[in-house]
Amino acid sequence: MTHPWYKSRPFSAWIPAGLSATHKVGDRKERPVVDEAACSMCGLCWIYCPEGIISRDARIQINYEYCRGCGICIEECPKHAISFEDER
Amino acid sequence: MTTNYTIKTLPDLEQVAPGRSGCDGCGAVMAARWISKITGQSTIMVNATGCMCVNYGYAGAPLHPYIHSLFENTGSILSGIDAGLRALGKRREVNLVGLAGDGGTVDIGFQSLSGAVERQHRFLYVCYDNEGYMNTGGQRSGATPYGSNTATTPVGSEQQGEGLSLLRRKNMVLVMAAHGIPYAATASIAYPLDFMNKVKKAIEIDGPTYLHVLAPCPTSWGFASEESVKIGKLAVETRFAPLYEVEQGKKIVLDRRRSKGTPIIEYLKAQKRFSHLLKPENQHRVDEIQSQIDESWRYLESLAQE
Repeated sequence: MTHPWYKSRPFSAWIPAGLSATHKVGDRKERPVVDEAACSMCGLCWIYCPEGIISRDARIQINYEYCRGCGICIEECPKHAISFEDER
Repeated sequence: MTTNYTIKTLPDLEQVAPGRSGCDGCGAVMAARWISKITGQSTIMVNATGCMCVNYGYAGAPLHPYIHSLFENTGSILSGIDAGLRALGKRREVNLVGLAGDGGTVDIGFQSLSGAVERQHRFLYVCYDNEGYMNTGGQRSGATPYGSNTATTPVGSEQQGEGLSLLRRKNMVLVMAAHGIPYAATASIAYPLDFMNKVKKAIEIDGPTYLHVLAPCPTSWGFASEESVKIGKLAVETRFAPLYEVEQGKKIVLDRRRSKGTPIIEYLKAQKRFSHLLKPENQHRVDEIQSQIDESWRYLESLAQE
């Protein structure tokens, strides 16, 4: 790979896109768990999740490597299908 | 006329990498994620100094081209990129988005934004309004509401939080509308579809557009991280932050259905920054806030009728 021009500029800093994916969560007390029987696949948790780590392909899946346990998905679920599970 | 998004037709494309550093339940990062979901891969985002530059840009979360600007020059950088893209003949392919907090928009970045709008550059400017300089410890800004307890407007024997009336607070959407901007609107992170349809409408316009988003801040407003969306909804329902659009600086469309006029005390008591207003001796301040909100709502209604 050739050296990008901006790397040689003393006044510029650059950060690779997607670098944050190396920051995994370490200190979560509880994690949200989806009750698939109650889930209606409305997609509200997928859209509200601030991290964007809930996927809605065939079923709702939460990526626990990055989930911070903020609880927005639990609060906003219209079917109350998501609940906290103790992790410690 | 373009069709509006529904939750089923929203793009699955994710332009934010996981693992950003920041507070749990942040409203502003929800806004940033939703913007880039609509603007897609060919987005250039200019982000003023603030919460989002520290916990989103510097963390490396955006997956599209992203520039961190100073507080005061977001509008200038947007103008320069727009002019450059036009010179290269690539303006149609790229969505240019500015993202700044209320400090970078209402206070410090105002002159460059005003200039960029006046020069009729094409960009979407999104202000995520968390009502203060929350990144540096919660100091007041020009968007801080009356009675709010911040680091620089503390509660003591003389002062009971921010003293400037809500009626005198800078109303950025109407200020932008006074520039004759093609499209200016308020949005809230509590209503994602409304938000994303406004973003879509704005990026299709060949000219400057402005979106003012209320982004609740769990850390500095003082509520639990899971309540961000609830607080956002309360702000709209109590008419504290009503949703409206202004087209061509004249035609105002007010969302009366969502702002049904819940008493403001419901909004105030949910947040620690207003907790001193719940004391019996401060009841007159709550009444004042209610009357200020009623008056600004009547003003908006009078504008919307024309």
